[in-house]
Amino acid sequence: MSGISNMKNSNVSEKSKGVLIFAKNTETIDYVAIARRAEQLINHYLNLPVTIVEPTVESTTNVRYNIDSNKFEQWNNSGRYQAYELSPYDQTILLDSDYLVMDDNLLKILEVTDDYKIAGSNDYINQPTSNSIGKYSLESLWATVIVFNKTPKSKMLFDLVKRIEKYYAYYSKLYNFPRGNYRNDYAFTIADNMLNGYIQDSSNYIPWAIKTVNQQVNNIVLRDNQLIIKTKDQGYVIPKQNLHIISKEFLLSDQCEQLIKEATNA
Amino acid sequence: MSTPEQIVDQIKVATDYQKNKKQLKEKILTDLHVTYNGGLFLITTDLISFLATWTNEELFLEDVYNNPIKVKREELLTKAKECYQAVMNEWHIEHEKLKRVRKI
Repeated sequence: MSGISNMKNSNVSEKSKGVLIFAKNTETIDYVAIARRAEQLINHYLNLPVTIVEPTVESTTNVRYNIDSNKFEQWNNSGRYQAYELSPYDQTILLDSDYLVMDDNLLKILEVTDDYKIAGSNDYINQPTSNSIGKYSLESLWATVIVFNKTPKSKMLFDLVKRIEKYYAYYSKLYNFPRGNYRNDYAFTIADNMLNGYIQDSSNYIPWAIKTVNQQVNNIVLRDNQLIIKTKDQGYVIPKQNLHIISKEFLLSDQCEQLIKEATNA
Repeated sequence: MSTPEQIVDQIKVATDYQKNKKQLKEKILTDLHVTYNGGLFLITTDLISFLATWTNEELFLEDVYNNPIKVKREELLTKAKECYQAVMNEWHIEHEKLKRVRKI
């Protein structure tokens, strides 16, 4: 007997699927509140359970420039490698808390992932994005969105990220990028490179770019299936889609709450 | 009456038609991906034409991840046409809306 209809094994139990978000509050930003908002959108558009976890790893001394306050502020991004162990799901979509899901395209990736898939490109809404981790180094992957199954290869990926985080200074020299803050994007880029025999192989990439609004956001309004984004410098009208929003002030604002209300009632 | 400074500010925050158009096209390309039998396909006119003219009912097709996926021709063709029609209609509608938005 042949044919595609016979390819499914009815003895295989349904795998659990869900979304995992890391969130750890800092002195100035309530990341848990941001994650709770992201959760509402995920429930609506992906219809998947969401688990918000706080990494148990001690934070490093990372600081990043806050585009809203124009100051350098504390930034906790350590311990992302714990996602593999902390995820209660067989199949996990791992998202940054500031990633707003407004379509169901990630379900397609979940369906075709064997081990893991990671965002391979990132489009800033206002400018071309430099995708290299260093001047003479690898093209950056983006840890903002990672889809993984609990498989030995995925475990190796997260184990490597743990190692890279621990010896970040060494890897920054080996891969020729400025040390600066620890970056999950860089750690996953290097881990993926090592895991694939030191070549960059797009077979583990999500085949479309994540969209990032990297400016101070005055407002985002959903109108007639279009997102009208007003930043400090320019306006944008784009179709409703997933957005990575760097402006935490907006994500915690009443305008964002209103956007979520509109997006979940649409 | 607006001062020259106010007008400059208004122009700065006006939307750029070309940028919006590019964003729309990228979203459309994302939406043109469909899953089928464990594979991920980008629906193109080439793929639809190929499926419409191939004579065998079962075949293997390369997906976006370079995997050969076993497909039932009619089944994937129907799915591809449905996706293509819906997404291209959406593109047309959204593009018409964009043209009405103030552009610089």
